[in-house]
Amino acid sequence: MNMNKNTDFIAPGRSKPKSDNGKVLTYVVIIFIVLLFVIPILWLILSSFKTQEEMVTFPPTFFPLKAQFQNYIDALTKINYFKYLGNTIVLSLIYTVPGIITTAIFGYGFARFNAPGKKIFFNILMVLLLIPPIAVLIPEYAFFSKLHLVNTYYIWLLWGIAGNPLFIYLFKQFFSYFPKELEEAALLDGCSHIGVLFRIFLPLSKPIIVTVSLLSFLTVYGDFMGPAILLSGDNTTLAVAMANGYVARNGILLTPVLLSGIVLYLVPVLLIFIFGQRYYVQGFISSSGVKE
Amino acid sequence: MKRIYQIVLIALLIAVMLTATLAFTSCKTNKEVTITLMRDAAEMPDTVIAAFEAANPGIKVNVVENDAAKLMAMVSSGNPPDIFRINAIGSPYWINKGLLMDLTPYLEKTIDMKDLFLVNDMFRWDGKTQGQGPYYGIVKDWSLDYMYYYNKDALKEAGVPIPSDDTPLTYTEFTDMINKVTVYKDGKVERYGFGFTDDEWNGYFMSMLASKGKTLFKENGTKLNIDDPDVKALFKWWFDEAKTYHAMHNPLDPASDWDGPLLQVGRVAIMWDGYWFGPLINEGTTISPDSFGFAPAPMYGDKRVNATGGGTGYVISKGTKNFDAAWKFYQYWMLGDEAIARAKSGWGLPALKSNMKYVPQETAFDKYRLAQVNKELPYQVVLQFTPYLRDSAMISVYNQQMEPALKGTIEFEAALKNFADALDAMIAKEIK
Amino acid sequence: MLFKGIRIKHETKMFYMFIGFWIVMFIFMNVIPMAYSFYFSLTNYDGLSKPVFVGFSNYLNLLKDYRFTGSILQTIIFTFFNIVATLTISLFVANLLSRKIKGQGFFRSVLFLPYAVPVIATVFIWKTLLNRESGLVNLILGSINSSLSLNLLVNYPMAALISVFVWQLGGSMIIFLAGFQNIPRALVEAAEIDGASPLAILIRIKIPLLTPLIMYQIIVGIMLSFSVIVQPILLTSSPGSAFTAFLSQQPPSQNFFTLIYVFQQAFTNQNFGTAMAASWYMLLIMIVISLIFIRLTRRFVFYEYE
Repeated sequence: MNMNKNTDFIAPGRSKPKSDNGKVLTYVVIIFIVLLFVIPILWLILSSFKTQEEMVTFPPTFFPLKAQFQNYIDALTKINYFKYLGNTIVLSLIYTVPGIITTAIFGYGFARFNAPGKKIFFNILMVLLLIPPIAVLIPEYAFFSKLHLVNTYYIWLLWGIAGNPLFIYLFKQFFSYFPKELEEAALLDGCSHIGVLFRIFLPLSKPIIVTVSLLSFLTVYGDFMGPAILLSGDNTTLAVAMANGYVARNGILLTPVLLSGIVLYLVPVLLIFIFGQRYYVQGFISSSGVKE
Repeated sequence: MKRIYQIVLIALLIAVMLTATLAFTSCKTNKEVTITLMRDAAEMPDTVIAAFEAANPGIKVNVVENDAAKLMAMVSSGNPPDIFRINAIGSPYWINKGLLMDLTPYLEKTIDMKDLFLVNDMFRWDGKTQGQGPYYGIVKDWSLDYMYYYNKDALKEAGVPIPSDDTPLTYTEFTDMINKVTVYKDGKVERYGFGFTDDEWNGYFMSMLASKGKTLFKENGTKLNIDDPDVKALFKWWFDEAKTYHAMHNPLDPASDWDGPLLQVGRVAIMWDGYWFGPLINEGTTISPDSFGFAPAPMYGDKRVNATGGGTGYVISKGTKNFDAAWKFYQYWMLGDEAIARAKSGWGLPALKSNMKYVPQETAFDKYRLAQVNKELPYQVVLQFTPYLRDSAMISVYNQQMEPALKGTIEFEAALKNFADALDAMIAKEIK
Repeated sequence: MLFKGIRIKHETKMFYMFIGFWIVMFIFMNVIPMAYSFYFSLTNYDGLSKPVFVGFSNYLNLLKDYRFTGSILQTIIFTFFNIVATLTISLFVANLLSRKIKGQGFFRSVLFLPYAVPVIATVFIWKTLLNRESGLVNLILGSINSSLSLNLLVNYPMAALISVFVWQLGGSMIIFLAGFQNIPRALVEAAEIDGASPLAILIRIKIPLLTPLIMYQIIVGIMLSFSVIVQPILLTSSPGSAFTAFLSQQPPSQNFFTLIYVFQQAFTNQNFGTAMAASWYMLLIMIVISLIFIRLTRRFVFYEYE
């Protein structure tokens, strides 16, 4: 093997210059893929400006004849949009904030201590990852109604505190990379383990905290089946309110209004995403399964 | 030290979050009575409820959105809404299970019972026959569902004669018309033959069988009458119309939207759904209402009949703890000014005959369709469903079992047998 | 020796102090509902009257129901193709985006965005895209040749469904991107010097190093694919019936997955017992598939540490 060149670890990207052809090809492919991915959203926005009749005329039209801003106004007025948006945000926070604290604690426990039985509990954690929440929605409804918790936000609080297995796993992975010396130094100084977690580890875990917060928030924000079954009336989330509310007489769906509602619904997601996606990538890099 | 730290932290957290959640759960003052209402948001907007609460201080209305699964969940956990919405046709199921309040004495105090249209009899059940016995509810509005609107230009294009306003077509002539009027080119349906209410179509079967003096269920509603050749022929007909794209809601070539907009732009020629479609025709911007005709129900047999296939109405739960409050709301919504407002909207006929004068008759089209309805009124019958199934069950099971047959995976006969067996099994389970 | 003894006990104590609460919540929030579910599966509970114990008859009857066994097959087929399509494409895209090119951050963001789009939004976006009449796909095909049109939702429902998931591969892509970032440049450089083509580098070096991540994503992918219920029903649902008739909609048999069967049994046919039994079968199959898979590919996964 020819080892003349300097082959130390170099930051990604600063490789030797590739051939121009390869680069152009890469660009073309990427731009093509990006277009493919973006088109559905563009089509959504375009369709949200059509009238319902325009959507079913044959042959179909590409652009609306006249942009129907009325659809957007209807979307905001047919249901109490901002109230439900508020509900959704509150629900997401109730799930996310306690969740971060507890999953950090649990992740720390799994990462930094060994004990008899740990393997068993860790395996249980992994199996829990496999259970689709939807499949247990029905028995959970029966369970929560016995506790008179249906149609309250306590359910999400309980879910948050119980800790989502995926997030516990992410914290565990992340924390397992911290060198033992860090911990030991603090302990020798008289810090308790919980202090180590909160004063030393967590401040260093910004990417993972942001990742978990984002995922957590998005899970609740986008959840449809959960609130549909467990919440009702004024307490419900935007997803469910939109599904039931954009109807004309006799319960028929007003498609363009729903599409406008969806565009509006996506705005907070976009905002959060633009703000947090940098951290999100970092978060996964730091807790991925491949060590450097 | 460490243990306390941990416990305190989590306790604090829970306390904070509990306060937050408390702020979002509804609280009840002791003086107020709260009734739970399951409503359809489109037909009963929040303003209606707010007006009721303003006029009735001391009664608070807790609103739940209309959802079949939600209703089942609430009922099964012993907590049904005080007032909820069901179709009259499926009411025996609920009455049989003892879930509904007998409203007859209260209705008798408020209105003249003779003022009720025959359709309200669908909410009557005496343990054996639907249409007899005490009233467990009334309809919020209704329509003779088997009359149909037709697009005159579409018929002309297909060379089909315009059906008479007075004499119903026979079922053969009707089928012929539907088949001719469908336009299918290049693997696409440009115009569907007919549209219908796809979540309430068991009524079509029952009304057509009534024209032959037959019923869909036999032996007191315990079995599907599938062995009867007329019943079987109807199912085959329904299946074939879907398979050949004539019927609108077929899974083989679904349209991108429901019948309303399609009728408005002329992509479905016939709307087999009764009076209530009128406003949609009025609201359409592409075709003028005068291009539409409104014909009496086609006859499967010799008897001329018409009926309501759904009969959406409201009922009061038997276990309600706040009957007085619930009844107040019921009167407000079903028997008072709200009922008149509904009649004026032209979306359906009122439950009370005395409210018929409010049905719109301004335009030529509205006058015409009302006149057609009046011609059909004498032929109205009460359809009878089985008390052992919810009205949506038959359709759901049909969709489950017949869809593979439509796609050609299994034979029609086999699928039909599976369908009948599944339905009979559900009924048998219910009886036990 | 004594010192070590105390040390171990202390560590154990700490572990259980940290995890203890989780164990309590796990029993409360997971075990109890699951026990409930198992109990129901042994009865003929219909949601309204008192449940009656019927032993394992629900389980046996399910095996005789061709719709249930069919749904299991369809779920497995879907899971397989979904995972293959999503992971292959996201690996490919991540590879492209792991190189230093201008606008890397922008491209990554745009491709990640669909992942954050909530379920109902996704379904409606794709419905308006693919529907045979006014959908964009057929609009474009139609402008090329008026007799050309694809009835995708009817004729290739599973392919349409998988496209929806491939569109949302952003999450998977990010995980792979992270993996690519962690591959030491030294290895890649060395191979490039030796004249290896980019394809060979990808296959011989990068992918083997990524196998733990691939493994992780496959296992999670199995779970996610089995949990799919909203998209297949709503993608081909009858327009206008909206959500109140959600459960009486019947997806085409290709997309008729076991979880849909479970919900229909529970809410439409009111067989809660059968529904729960079916979901236990589902869980069992998911675990078995995962275990078999892990076993079979143990040779291929390259772990550097435990």
